Amino acid sequence: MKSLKRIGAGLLAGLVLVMPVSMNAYATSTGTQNYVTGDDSYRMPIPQCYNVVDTINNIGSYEDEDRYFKNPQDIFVDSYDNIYIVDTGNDRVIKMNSSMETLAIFYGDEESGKFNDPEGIFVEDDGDMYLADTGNKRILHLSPEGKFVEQFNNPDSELTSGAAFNPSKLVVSPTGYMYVIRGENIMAIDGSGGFSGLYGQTDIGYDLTEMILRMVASEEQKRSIAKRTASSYINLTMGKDGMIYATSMEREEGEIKKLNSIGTNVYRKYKTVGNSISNPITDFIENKLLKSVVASNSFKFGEYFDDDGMYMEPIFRDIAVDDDGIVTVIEEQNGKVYQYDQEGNMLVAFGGLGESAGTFTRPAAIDVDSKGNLYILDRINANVQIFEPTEFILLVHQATTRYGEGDYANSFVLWQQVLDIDENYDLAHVGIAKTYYKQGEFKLSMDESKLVGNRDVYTQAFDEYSYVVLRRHFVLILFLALAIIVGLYLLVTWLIRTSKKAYWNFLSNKTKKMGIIQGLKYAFHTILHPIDAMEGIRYNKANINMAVPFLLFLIAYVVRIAYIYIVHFPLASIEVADANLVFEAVKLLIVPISWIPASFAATSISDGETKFPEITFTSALSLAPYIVINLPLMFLSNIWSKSQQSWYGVFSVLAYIGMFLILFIAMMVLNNYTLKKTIGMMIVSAGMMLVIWLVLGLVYVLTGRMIQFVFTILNEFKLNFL
Amino acid sequence: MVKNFIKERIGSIILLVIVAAMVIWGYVSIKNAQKNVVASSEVYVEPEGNVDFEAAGEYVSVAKNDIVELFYNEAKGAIQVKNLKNGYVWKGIVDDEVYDLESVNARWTAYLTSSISISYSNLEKRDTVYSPMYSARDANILNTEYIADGVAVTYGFGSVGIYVTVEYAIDDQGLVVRIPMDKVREDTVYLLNTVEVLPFLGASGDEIDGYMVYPDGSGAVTLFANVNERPSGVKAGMFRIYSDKNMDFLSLMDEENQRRYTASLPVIGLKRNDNAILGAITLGAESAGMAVYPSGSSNIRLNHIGFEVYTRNLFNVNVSTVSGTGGAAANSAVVQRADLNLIMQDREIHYFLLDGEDANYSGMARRYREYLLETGQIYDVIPDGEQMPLALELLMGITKDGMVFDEYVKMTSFDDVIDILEKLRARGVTSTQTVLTDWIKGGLKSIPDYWPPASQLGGSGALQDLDDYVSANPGTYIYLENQFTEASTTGGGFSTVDDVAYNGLDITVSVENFDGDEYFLLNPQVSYDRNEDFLGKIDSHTNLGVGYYYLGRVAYPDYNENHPFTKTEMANKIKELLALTRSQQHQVAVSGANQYVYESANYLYQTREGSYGLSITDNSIPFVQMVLSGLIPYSTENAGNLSYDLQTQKLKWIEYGALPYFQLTQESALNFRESDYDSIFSSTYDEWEERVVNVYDDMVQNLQDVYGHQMVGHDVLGKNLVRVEYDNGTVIYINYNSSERTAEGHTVDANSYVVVRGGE
Repeated sequence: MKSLKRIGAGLLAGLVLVMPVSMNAYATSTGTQNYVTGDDSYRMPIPQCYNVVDTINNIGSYEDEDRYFKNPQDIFVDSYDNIYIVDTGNDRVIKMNSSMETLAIFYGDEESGKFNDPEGIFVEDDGDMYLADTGNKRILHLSPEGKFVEQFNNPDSELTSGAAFNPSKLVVSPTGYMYVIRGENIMAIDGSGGFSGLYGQTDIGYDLTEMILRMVASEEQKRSIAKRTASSYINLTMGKDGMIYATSMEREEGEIKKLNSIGTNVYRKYKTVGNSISNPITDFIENKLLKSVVASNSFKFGEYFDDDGMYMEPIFRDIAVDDDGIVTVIEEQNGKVYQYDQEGNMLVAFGGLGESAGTFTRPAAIDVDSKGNLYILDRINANVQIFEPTEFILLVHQATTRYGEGDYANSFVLWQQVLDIDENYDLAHVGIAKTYYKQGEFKLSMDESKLVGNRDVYTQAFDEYSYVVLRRHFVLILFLALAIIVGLYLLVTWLIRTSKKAYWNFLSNKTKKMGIIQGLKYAFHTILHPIDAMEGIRYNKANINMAVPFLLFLIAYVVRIAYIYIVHFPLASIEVADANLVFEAVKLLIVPISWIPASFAATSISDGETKFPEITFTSALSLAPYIVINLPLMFLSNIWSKSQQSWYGVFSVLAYIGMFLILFIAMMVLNNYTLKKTIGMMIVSAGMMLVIWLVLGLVYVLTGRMIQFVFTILNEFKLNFL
Repeated sequence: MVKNFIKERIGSIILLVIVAAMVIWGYVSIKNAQKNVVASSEVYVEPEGNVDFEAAGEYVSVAKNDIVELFYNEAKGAIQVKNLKNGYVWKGIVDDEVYDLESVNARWTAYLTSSISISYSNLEKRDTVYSPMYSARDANILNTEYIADGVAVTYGFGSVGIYVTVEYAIDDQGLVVRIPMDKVREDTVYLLNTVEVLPFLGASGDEIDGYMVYPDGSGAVTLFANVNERPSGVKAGMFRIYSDKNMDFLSLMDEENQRRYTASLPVIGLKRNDNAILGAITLGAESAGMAVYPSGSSNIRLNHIGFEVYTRNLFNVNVSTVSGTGGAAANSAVVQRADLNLIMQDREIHYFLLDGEDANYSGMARRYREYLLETGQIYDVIPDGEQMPLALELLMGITKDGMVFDEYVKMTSFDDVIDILEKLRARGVTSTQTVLTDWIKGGLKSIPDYWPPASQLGGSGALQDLDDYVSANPGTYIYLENQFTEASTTGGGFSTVDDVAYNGLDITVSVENFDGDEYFLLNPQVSYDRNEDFLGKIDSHTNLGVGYYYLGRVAYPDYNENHPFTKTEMANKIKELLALTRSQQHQVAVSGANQYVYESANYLYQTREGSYGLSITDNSIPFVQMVLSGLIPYSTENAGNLSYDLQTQKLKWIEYGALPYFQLTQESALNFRESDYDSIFSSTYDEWEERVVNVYDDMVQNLQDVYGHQMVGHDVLGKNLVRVEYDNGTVIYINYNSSERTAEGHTVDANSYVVVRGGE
């Protein structure tokens, strides 16, 4: 459990350092321990939510050639709790009653011909069946007795006639439309078999790279650029609310979708796709290099890590929605079952791969009956396990449903009952916090949401609460604010004066070495007068004190660590427990420190006049804005909440711009470069910096490999000859 | 000149010398190794066989006493045993009466008619896997020697030069099978790995009314009649006694692996109509396992169960292949290596014949318990008339990750313990078995440290108060939990060279986690010494007991050169360790229920409740608990505060005869978020007090008169409906269903139980 939490940091470190040694996870897995994950990949154990109460292993005492299922691919539970199993490998459909006694077996009658590898079924309330007879490339409408009623082939349309028709998963809406998964679309067919549109295609947005490519490419080249398509749908189901719930491979907006009547996804989304022009560089970094880090630190449906902590991308093979709108999906590779409420909050994750009851080999289909029992079909085990909800998860369902209906008082009571069983259940704390908020108990809401680290609810409550406090103590706060402003003003003016003095003192005496305090003041002066400061260093380079840069590095580091501790909780980018001293140092100092050899190497071959000491000194000076901005910011953040995040972002960016400007000016002034040359040399230095990182990385990897190699050889000797 | 020449090329010269040294060393090693191998495999002439595989032979009586008669077939090397009480004959191998041998292929015929089968490997082709050999087909030498009360048969597998002698005899318990290891011969490069003993003893077809019993978790049953309820392609169940046989860290220590593969009792059972047989390894059980083959798990429609004796240790080793590119998984391969030496430990298996009233799993448990009592392997440690205790596990502190330092956060101090016990006492809970966990300075991160107590908990003064409290309050037992098995480099304080366990390849049994902490297993002698030192630290607190984590769950062989141990020797060392603690007046609690801890334990906690849940298992039963009940108090692994439904959990405790058990803390369970203890999502004492007291009151009120008594019967009456009987005649009906049930004329409410006392 613990190790999973560390994945994020571990992987990030792994990416930066490209760790060559394999990492063994010594984590005692608790098998079918139920858990939830919040907005990160951390697994939080919760009480057992479902028990396996029965298993359908075969067709029972019904006489037929094959007792056992063979590669079954779909299960459907109708409104009378009859069970339909699409036994694909045996080309048949088995209908059972709720006591799991086989009522009938359908192979296709004379009129329809034999089924061939059927893969999906939908049953209407009146018992009429719609079967995706995949091998025969058709959809069959059968009477409740299995008699042929009608057949749907590939509907006639410009949009569909080109492609093969391999219907697999389908639903029929109460209005009589049939919806069939078709690649990146859901195809709608009307009652008479006519094509009535493609539905639910994800907006794939613009792609800057592609746009540029298309601008410069010739006609012929343009044709050879593959047309980007949206990701494929996998499965779908019909909610009681008439919405279509679908799973897909679409990983930008979210794999689970709830489509309204015009095909728009109204379920929880990772981000809204299509409204912005994407940035190819950040896209590349996020999608290719850091995908596991992104996945571990943001909300995702299911999990992007398997039980061993290895990165994976989930495939939600099937989806079921119960009468209350509780959504349950099965993930194929890791064998997990995930359940969500209407807002997309995870209620439970359970199951997994294994041999014991309640685990799977290859879950292929899921449905839910009127009592909330889950029927999960396993293709390889060729059986169905029936999961009954426990008291605990039933309480959770009721609480979230009541809340969704706006019945806050009742949901409050229910959430408290949930907490009686699981003191740590996140959603219950959030539910209670939200209810407090609705009741105007902002402070209580803040405390409750902070317990479980929910930033959104906390922010809402904090905003309201600070408004309340402001109104109540307006005069006092005004007075305090004034006092702080005046104090700050005095402090800043004093700093300006004293740093200016320090600057002139340094310049005026060419024989006296710079003092440490003087050096720090000098750093402050650099922020206000970077050009003067750099010229000063150039003028009096013999007297700079090399203790100052190291002190600056240290101060910046201390500020960073203090910042992690002090910054206001909803704005924190990293939690104290997850922070790593070494890693923070690397993140903060890698640029200014590797800048030193990089720019030295670059300038020394290009009429540069700078030596190592000055570069080190100026490189450290570039951290001054970071220190000066973050020092007050971390305290100030405590009266800010997430809604002022953009302001907060501006200041962070300012620190980095300041850093860049100082490095730039330093290079220009110290080397006596022209503006144009400076720009060129900045680019060369940046390239040099990358080369340094690469070489260091390579050395690290190769040394690791070398050590591993030697150990392997020794091991082999041991194994073979000793 | 020369000096300069050397000076300029010093780097290359050193490199050359190193390479040369490595080459020479490698060459010498290879030569040495080859010498060893060749020596043992000089010209081997396969002996001429003396077996006519076609001969039918006949069964001749070779031994007889008051209860049992042994028959032996010299031509087949097979036995039969007759229960003289009712004349029922147990067949050692399958004949045409049991199964139509014509209907299976030659390989299966051979297997079905074999008394033993062996698996083996080749020293020269170590990675070659051979299919097993069967005594009825491949043993071309068969020598019989008539011994007192039986017969000693040598099965010679001439083609591979492996000879195994098996003694079949009888005593006043029934059949005894022995494998003397000094009589095992390996004349060639082939190494004997396992011997399967009487795999088809009592094998039964689906039509027979009966079942197989095996100690998967607390016990499990496979009903012959349920063959059609199972999925197609069920797999056989394999279990290893006490610990996994793979000598690597995760196989031994991973909890999921322990649950899946280990058996805490060395027994198997088979019921056939009105007869039943209970097999128990009574000598050398540590290196053995059992295999359960329900009908349909292989090509034949026959249910059979048997023991497998491991004659040498095998080691799985991960080797990395440097050429691999696809990440850690693609970079490594698992190679298996066999120890060159046999495990020189004689084996003895008793088969107890049961009939009539005893011919069921309750009867098996009763007989086995009797056997353990007779042989002094278990004692009654429950004082007469003692009130049923409440089982508590109080978690004292956790280590939380900090950026700079990890922080030990107090969850329950020693004073809090007294406080909690006082509150409970005030509400009528006067009898408690309390295990205090993670009280050592530094918490979990400090393993293998076993001392001193964390200062945040109150220090040694508070420990003395606790000691005084126990002595002043009879019925209160407090155990300081410690562990002497696992060691991590973060905790330190041990030598990663001298103090840890090695496998037979001279590689430490260890694993590294994501944070770079390396975990080892301690050498059993080191564990013993550390425990002795710990006892010295608490010698003034004799009223406090000691709880031992792991000891009741894990035993392993250790090739540490300073103190080598076989697995059997380790089990014996654990017995010694516990006996030492007992001898110093401390009460002993052990987590887990491996049989070797019974003789010294005052309390067993975290015993398994139910089986793993394989698809071959039809019912989970409290077999282990039936052996223990009324002798040693025990609680199960499932704490009431972590259950999804306390009522259901209470019924489970009642079915298993276990103490009501809660895992609690003084401070809020919210502290556990994102810590190593996050699976304890609910534990705050104040939140739980009411429910704890209610459950306890209910159980004491209704079940006090069965506490300290033996559970003599357990029956599954219907789906989720169970009947449990005690030796004082009290019967309990337990209904897990969500609606009312009637059991033997008694109405049991939904999710409830009914107690019927003797004579009512």
